[in-house]
Amino acid sequence: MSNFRRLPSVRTIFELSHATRLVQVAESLGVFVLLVIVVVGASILAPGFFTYTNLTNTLITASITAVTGLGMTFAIAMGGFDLSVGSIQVLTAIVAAGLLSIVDPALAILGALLTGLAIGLWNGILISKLRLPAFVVTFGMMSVVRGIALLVTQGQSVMITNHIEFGLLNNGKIFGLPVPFLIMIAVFILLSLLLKHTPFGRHTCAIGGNRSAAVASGINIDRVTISVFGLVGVTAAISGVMLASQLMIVDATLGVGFELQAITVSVLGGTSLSGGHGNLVGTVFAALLLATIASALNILKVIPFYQYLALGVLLIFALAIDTARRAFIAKSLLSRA
Amino acid sequence: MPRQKIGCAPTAETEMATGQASGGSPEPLLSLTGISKQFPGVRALDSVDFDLFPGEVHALVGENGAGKSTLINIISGLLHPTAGKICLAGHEVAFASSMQAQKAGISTITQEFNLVPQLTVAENIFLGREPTRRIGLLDWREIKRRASEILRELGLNVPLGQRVSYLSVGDRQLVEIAKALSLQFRIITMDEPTAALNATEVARLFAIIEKLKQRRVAVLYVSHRLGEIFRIADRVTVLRDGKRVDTRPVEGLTENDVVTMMLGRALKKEALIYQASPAAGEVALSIKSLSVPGFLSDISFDLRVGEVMGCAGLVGSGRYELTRTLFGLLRASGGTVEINGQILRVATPGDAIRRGIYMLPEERKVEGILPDLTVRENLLISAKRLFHRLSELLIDAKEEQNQYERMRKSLDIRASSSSQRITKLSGGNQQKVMLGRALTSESRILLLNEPTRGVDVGTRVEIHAAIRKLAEQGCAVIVSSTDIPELVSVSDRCLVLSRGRMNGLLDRIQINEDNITALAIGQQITADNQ
Repeated sequence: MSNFRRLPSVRTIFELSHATRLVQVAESLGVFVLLVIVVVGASILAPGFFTYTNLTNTLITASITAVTGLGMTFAIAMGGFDLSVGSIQVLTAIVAAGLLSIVDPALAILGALLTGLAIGLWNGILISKLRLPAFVVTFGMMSVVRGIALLVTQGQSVMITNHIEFGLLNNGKIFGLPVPFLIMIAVFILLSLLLKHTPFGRHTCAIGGNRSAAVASGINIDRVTISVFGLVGVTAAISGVMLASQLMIVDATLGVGFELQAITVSVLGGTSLSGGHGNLVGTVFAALLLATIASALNILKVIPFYQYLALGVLLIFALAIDTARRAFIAKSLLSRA
Repeated sequence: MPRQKIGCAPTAETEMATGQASGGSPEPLLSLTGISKQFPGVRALDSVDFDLFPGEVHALVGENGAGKSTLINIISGLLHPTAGKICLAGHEVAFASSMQAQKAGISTITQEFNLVPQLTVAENIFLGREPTRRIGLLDWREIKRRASEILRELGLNVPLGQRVSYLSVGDRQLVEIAKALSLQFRIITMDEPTAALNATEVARLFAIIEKLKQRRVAVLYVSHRLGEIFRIADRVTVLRDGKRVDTRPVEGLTENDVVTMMLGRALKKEALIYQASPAAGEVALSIKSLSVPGFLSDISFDLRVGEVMGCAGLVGSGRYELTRTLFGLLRASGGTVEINGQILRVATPGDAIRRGIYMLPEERKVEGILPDLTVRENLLISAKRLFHRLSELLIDAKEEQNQYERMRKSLDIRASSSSQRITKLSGGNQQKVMLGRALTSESRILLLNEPTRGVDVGTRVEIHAAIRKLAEQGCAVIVSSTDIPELVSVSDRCLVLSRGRMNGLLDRIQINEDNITALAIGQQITADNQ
């Protein structure tokens, strides 16, 4: 009897799927639908878009952005963001390129990742211990880290010549899928696990949703903040390594505006800048969307400067959608109290 | 237009009520007929009739989830009814937004104020409609003159230039009412206006409501505190499960009648009667001359295992700060806190929880609920044992669901599923989740602030029973509350603070409303009161 009552009724299941699932699905579906439209549009309008080579290249570009975007989603879910990822990306690419001439590729990659981790943790320490806004700290660090990159290279380019294995990070394929895409999928799976199935992920969302309540629940805010920014630093470093293996020649002027891309894909993917939750699937779709648009514009021989324009417009568009969505939800939630 | 007039004509029944309630004016200012509101899966209101006459205070009561908030939101234009008709002064209206309702003369004063904390009292009162001089500059003289006129009428004694963020909750509420008056509203709805007020502020609010009545303003008054309804309301409408049970003149009703209408049955007697707990055990928490600069000085008492200690005090008495200090949210400047004979040092709530102390925050919305998380996640955010056997990193989903189910049953949390968003729950159920959070932290010392704020009568009794049960099971509990009847009904002993000092520690036999009130306002209790 009591067992029977414990079973959820059909109506409860319907409500659950209706209320929470549907909203979540719709959030990532929005950008997914947009992606399909743009891909179909590009295939028709831009001859040469729907070829194996171009699709592979688009996938690689998307993957590099997506990896950092996934890390950024954590920062945004926590109610902050990280403007220094572009600089971290370029510095870690330079570190990887430099170390490759001295040590094993594996060690060079490790060195780059540790550099990213260190900068990220430092960001987090400044934010939590000095009680500074993430905006100020990461904005400042964006300049500091780029300065370091320029100093280290003395403004020169660094070539990667003698490492074929390192190039495989970009050119390699497993089951016909480019390695960067697989790296991105691996990061995606790991971070999804982290966000949904660990106390760390839950605490991240708790802080973003209601900081005071998170404090009163006994969550160690400083530790979570430092960890999240450390995580963003690592993802930016992974993107840096991927970028180095894609270009095989790096200099300190790369990665300008990369932070804007990372934030845009996260927000476009359905992660609200007001914090509280993160949509990782959406981030991946949005990165694919962004890369598709860039690729189509390239093929159509649109001056690359227009890509900045498109990016900015997309970001504002995504924010407008997010605001409208929140207003809608707020209104429909006013129901019962 | 004439057709609408006919549609909105008062029924025989309401005409009778008119005679009793407002003596004269034959037409209701606001009348709702057959209002229904359907949400996915829930019928929040089921053809409810409601009317409001000029110069009357009409109370709306019901348990959480009965539909009170939905009805208020419909009247204030935030929600649209699925069916039914709203007539304002004889004309059918349909508000598309709360702005339209305000333009039509309906003001809603809720627990969340629509004030800008950084602006001054005067600036807030005229926000968005500032009197200006010819070239568009603010007319400060006019602003000050009109604001002080309204404040004088309300008996609110605060400087006009004071920033709202420095005002007490009670004063902020009066600023909100001042704003409503400056707009010449005809209808003011008040949703739980006394939830955060102390006794003096409540008395002041009631005096103002009397003045509003004289000005022929209609007041829709929602409160869980039934005593208040008998003090100020002319009529009362009871809702239950989205339906109107009845609308009656308050005169001739008793509190028991109203409770019976709300619950659909008589309240169980024994639930209200205090049951003495077994002799309190050893000292769980020993506080010796604790001081917090500006808030508390020289506080000393022992909290024992198995006892519920009440804590009373007006705003500014240090009551709010006491539990926050013990929980690591405020730093003490002097004195010691001992737990099991060891000196306790807590710098953060995390430390306190590790030492077995948990605090239920005073304001659920501000420090309690995590709005983006589910009911289950909210309940278990401070849980101790949630981890997968293999790793400290992963959450064990099965263990999580088990713990949730256990709490849901023992506290009778009514949620459609464990993955429902917490914000979709009624206030009473949210409060139960907060209480569950304290329990799953496995703390033995519980600091409960306002455990039944904004909660209906039925849930209130359930929560009080749960608190008593916790003490019996070996917890040491402090209940800090502005609700004196609550302290009387749950406390074994009651600490009363006044201006940062302990003005008394009442034993069970001394605990009554008069003694607590007397000590809280700084008096000493006399021998015959004891």
